[in-house]
Amino acid sequence: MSGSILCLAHVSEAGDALPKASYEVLGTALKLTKQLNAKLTIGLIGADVTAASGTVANAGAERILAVTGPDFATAHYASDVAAAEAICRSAGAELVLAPATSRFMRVLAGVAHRLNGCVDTHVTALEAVNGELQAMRWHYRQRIEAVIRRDTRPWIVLLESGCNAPWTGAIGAAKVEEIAVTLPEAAKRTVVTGVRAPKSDAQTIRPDADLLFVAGAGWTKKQADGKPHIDQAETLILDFLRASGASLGGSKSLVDQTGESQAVLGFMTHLNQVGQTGSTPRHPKGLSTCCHGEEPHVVGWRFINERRAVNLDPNCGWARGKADVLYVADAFEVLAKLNALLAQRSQTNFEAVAQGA
Amino acid sequence: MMTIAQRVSFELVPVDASASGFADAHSTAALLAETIQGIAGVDRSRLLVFGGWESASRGAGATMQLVGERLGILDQFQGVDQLSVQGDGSFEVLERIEAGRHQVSVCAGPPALFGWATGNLPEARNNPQVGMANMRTVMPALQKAKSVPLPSGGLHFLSASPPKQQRQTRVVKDLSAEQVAQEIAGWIGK
Ligand SMILES: Cc1cc2nc3c(=O)[nH]c(=O)nc-3n(C[C@H](O)[C@H](O)[C@H](O)COP(=O)(O)OP(=O)(O)OC[C@H]3O[C@@H](n4cnc5c(N)ncnc54)[C@H](O)[C@@H]3O)c2cc1C
Repeated sequence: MSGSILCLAHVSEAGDALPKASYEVLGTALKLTKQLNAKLTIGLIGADVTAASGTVANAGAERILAVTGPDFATAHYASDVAAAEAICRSAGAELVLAPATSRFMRVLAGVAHRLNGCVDTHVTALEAVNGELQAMRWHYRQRIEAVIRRDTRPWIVLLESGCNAPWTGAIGAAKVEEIAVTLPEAAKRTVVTGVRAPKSDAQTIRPDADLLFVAGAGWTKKQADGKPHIDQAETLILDFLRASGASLGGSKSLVDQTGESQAVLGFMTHLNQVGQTGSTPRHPKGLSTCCHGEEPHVVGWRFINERRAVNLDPNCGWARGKADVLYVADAFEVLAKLNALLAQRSQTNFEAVAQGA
Repeated sequence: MMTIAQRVSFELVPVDASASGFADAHSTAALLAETIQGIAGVDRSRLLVFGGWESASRGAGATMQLVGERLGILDQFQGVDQLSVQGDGSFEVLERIEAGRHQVSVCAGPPALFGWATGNLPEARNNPQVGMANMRTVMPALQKAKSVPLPSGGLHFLSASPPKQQRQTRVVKDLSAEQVAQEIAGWIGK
């Protein structure tokens, strides 16, 4: 059925490759190309795709198309929608696969509309079953998992990261067909002026980290001595993030305190929130501390493979059945010891390296 | 709706259709765009469309963009946390991007579309007078709402279920904090 498949990508922010998730999409596209005996086209968008196209030169695509130039350097609706539309039209594919990056999430639904096609986001798997394409996707923000199919073509599918094996191959020199796209003035009313990021020592969200550390509201509650210990909680958590390289997630109860003028952890913002109304990050491991809620354990952890929890309450109903291990312990004490161990470990590693040198 | 009606004054244009998370985003967007176009006196060249970004109940990830395309709006922003109007009528928009960062853009002015994230503003205060004024128009508007069946749009559900993930949790009760830390350190290091 699907005679031709387009794998669409934009260059990474560094400009020298594609975002990691694009190689996972390419892996899926290649699998389907084989299953459906289809033809694969790769489409690229960016200021300059020379380096990025080299990373997929040996993937076996029939064609590599690109829209390039300074107008396509930054993520911006009006330019990206025009670029992606032009590539899709040139490829004429029935199925378009793309990574669910913020850049493509903003724009590909609009492209589907322009092509008289359809779009699905939050897709985690795509299979050909008896020659028929079926997508597994999440509804109600990671609460319900459905298998769907669509009659309409082209079908644009945005695949979530971390769900499929990435394609890897040697770098080569790609033969790229450039498609000229001239933007009308109406497409230049918005100018991207930059990126605002927390200062690097306050940067607590690290999508590529091996470990997600989830902090719950317990960190700000009264402890055994009848008092909260916010300063200590802040120091323990930040020290742990520094020593372990973990990414920080928070429960809604904890991040909401920021807006309610309660004592809060200074570095915790809504961007850290995991769960149904927050994010569902992807990391190989997750450690939750002082969380009782369903959301951090059930939805926030949906895509975390190995999960452990620390809670004073042995009956923490949400950790039971959702975590692999529940430690009934005081998170303040555990983290203090853990930080000491990690510091010791890095000291030993440092000495080993120094001696080896 | 009653909560919002106490806080800001508005005109309600209700349509009686499925708000289910399984409704097709394309059909939903077509209905929304058509309804917006039908509002008397709306100046499309000055239109600002706001909606939830990835709302908890739907999270289709596509509806807003499709509405924007149908209304011919080329300045679209998703995951918006902040919007500041500048002296010259342009506005600066902060959109959520990867790794807890924001992309900053400046848009010349309306028309534009915003998928709103959480933002950083407190909720507007209750104002009983606003509530009273709204109630005079909200109830009649609800009574007049037309009922529209949403077409499936060629979308077929083969299955839908909450994931059944039940883990065998090992509950560790008698270890000291030191021992727990050691276990966790070993696990992290693996
Ligand atoms: C529409 C809606 C959407 C929502 N979306 C989300 C969402 O996206 N994400 C989310 O997280 N929540 C969400 N919630 C809220 C959710 O239902 C819970 O209320 C919330 O997650 C609970 O947060 P918590 O576990 O941090 O806090 P609590 O329930 O207060 O739990 C605190 C825990 O800390 C433990 N504790 C205290 N001190 C210590 C210590 N020293 N050592 C170890 N443990 C300790 C306590 O035993 C307790 O179990 C949503 C709610 C609604 C209504």
